[in-house]
Amino acid sequence: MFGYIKPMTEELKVKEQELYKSIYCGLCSAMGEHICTSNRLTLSYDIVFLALVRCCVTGERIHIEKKRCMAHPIKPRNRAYIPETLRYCARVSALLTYYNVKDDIEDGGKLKSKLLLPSAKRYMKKADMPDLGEIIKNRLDTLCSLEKEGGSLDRNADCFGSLLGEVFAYGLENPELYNFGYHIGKWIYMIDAADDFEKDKKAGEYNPLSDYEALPCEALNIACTLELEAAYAAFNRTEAKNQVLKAIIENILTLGMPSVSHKITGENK
Amino acid sequence: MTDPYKVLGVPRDASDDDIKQAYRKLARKYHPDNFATDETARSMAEDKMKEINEAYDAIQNDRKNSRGYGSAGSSSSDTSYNRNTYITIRSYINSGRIGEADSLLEGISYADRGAEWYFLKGCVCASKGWNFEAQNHFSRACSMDPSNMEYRSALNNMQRGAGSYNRGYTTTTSNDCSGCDICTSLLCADCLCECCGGDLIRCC
Repeated sequence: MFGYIKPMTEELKVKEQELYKSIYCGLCSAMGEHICTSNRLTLSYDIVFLALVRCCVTGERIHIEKKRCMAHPIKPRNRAYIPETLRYCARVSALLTYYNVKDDIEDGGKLKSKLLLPSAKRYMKKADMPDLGEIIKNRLDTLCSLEKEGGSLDRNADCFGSLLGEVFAYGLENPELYNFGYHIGKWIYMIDAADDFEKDKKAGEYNPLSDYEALPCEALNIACTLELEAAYAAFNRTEAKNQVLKAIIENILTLGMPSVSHKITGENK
Repeated sequence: MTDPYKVLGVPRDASDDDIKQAYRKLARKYHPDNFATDETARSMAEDKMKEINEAYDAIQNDRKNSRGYGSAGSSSSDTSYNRNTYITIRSYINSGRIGEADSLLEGISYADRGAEWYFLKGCVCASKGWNFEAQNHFSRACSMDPSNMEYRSALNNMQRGAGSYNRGYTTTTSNDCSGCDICTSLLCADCLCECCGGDLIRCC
């Protein structure tokens, strides 16, 4: 995905930051364990966020150990072990990487993606989740045809939102979690479109906002904020089973993500 | 529905100007922006506002129709056809039948799309959660008919909704008072006191 979902670190408590870092570390090692060592390079903040939310809702026990790894060979770091959650997130990350690469190739075929395709295919096989893979493929195909038709921003965002909704709620049968993922997905799609607006304009590539001369900052900012508000409301309706994780997620929803959307939709004013 | 003339508090034979004036006065009084701090009062004001708008529209339509026959010719029958469709669309939106409302709206040809069309389209988008498009439609409706309070308040509502979520984020960067500021202020106060012959801090 895109890496827009970060906490505002200066507002985190020390214990929250420690937990966040250790989950990041744990997810990285889980990706190495379940998929492939090279897959660890594709770790993004968005998948860490998925892990935080899934773990907070399921209440799975977190076990923390100090460990060294290839990236940090000298000083051992805290690593969180949350077997079920992290295994799921590692597999989802592999699937998303594969479809992302495939999408890139269909779009224009950059050399980098072509080189990555064989290993991405291997990640996907390792992930071994044909049902979720089918759902993701379905949604992405729909999104692709909507984008070709020149569909509106909201319509596309709606499609992408339903993809993330499925990813967040997969296997947990929690409608609120689906809603939560849906609004997060819409937010990501809109922010991504706004972020790429200038770049796509210069390159003459497709962007759902390309009908506009200049970025409609105010309307975008309000629309993004309303998505966050809806996501936050949905999160509050799920039962949080881990208070520290809940605090981190609240920080991300009310501080980290708004600051990203302010930056992206506010800079061209 | 209650008598629209009673809602506005005007006699049945009041002139158009009197009605407009009464409407403006009430609209100003009950505008939801006046009740920004009190949630319950605001929602009551919104309901009242809706009632006032409906009453005003009803009177306007009533008068237009009774006098329009003959003078305005075919164009007035055209707008009254749309008028009825819009009423149906509104009732669909209110009862949550968004798909039907949308297909009715799409059935109206481009040439006939006035401010109300954009407003209703905005409502349809908003109830689907398509907030970006909803705002575009609302602001289009507002620019086509700037005096309409219903359109304006729909747009304002969205902006206010977003504003309330952001408040927590923006206040974190308020002006802060550091230790240095306190010391400087104390020293200044001490100097001032000494000028007048007193002393605030003994040692300096």
